[in-house]
Amino acid sequence: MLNDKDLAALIRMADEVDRLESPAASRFEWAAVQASGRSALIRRMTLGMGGLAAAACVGLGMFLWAKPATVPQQISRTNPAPVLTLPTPTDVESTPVTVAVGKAPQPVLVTQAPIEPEIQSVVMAVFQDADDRCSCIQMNPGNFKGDLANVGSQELLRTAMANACHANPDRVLVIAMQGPSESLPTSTAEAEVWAACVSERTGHCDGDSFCVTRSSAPFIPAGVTMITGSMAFTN
Amino acid sequence: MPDDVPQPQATNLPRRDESLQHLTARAAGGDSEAFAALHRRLGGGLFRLFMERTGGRAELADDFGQKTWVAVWQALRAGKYDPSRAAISTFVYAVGYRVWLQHMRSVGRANVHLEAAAPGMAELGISEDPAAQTKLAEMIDTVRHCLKDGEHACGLSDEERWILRSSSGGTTDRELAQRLGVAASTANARKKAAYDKIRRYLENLGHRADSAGQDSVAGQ
Repeated sequence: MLNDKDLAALIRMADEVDRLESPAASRFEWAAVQASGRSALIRRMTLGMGGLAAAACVGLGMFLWAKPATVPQQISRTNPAPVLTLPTPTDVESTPVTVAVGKAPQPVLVTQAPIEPEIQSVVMAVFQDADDRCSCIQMNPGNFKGDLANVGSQELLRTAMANACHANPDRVLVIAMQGPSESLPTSTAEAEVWAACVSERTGHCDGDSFCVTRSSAPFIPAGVTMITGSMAFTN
Repeated sequence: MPDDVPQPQATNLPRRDESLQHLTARAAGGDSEAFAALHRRLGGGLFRLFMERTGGRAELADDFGQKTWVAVWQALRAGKYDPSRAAISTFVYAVGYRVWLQHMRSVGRANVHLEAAAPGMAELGISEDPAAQTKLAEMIDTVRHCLKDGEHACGLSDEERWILRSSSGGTTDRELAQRLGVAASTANARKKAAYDKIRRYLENLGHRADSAGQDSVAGQ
């Protein structure tokens, strides 16, 4: 005989199967992720890349590699609008520095103040055609006040779609990033390289934000918050 | 994706709107493109579930996903999945549930989290026999059917469906009572009545924890 606990488990499973089946392409869902560790980056680079895009990715990967990277590996999600604030691993310790002042070599102890990296945001919109090919990429600065995690999805979407470079896309992948300015793409060209890496790894995702997020994780610079969203258009 | 997946045929590439049922039938016949399409449709959802179960450990969730899909492919190719008994999504879930249970058991946590909480389901879920997964999937699909809005076959009212979902999700009798505007004892009685209905419905279809266990043992 099935007891109530077994029945409750079955009911939870039934709910989970419903969620498993839910069509990712028909919703706009945000997912957030933080940078993954070195091993994952190298492993994925080694496993998956080929051709020119791969070369570009490796180049970018190495660029990102040079950033401080003591970041725990984690992707997390909350419902219904999953966002995550990430620790910035750019801890700058106060370092005593000795300098010479005046004629006599009198040592003066100067404490170097921690350098606070400038935090900026960018929002990229990757417009895709029906065959999943990337048609164009639009990059907009995100002039958000405060943490990206607290920015509403509608505002992110509006920012991403501003000056849209495609009038009739089949799907738009929105990637919002916030972090130290030197870790973010600064030009459309850089954004294209970055997006090429992500697109290459997320082609199988079929609009599933978490799949995109998971697959993008190796390419996220340390200390950067990333939120992804995918929106499908039906005619 | 399993390594032994045969090379795709040049024709008959899956369409985006092709039904899961159709894709499954093609995959069972050895069509790796159809299987890849199944993976695309359900892989994200499965990964998300594993992420939740593993507390956001992407590598572990990935590993579970790989194991699940390999097992699903093998079951399909061996004719161990019967589409008349359960939806492919539910079957994939049941296989994934086994992968997760086996992991939990291997790290010594199955007793704490599952076997004590839902012994019948844990026993059924952890069996290596694909027939057990089909059995579990069939039971889950039956419950899904019962919980559908507007579905009356199980005799559940909308309120009872809500009570079942809430209660299984951890809502206490006191909280149920507050939402329903009744005494806690009344809420408890309604909950028990709802559980009894769904239990009777399952048992009338031949689903019992005991028989489920025997099925899984017999299959081993």
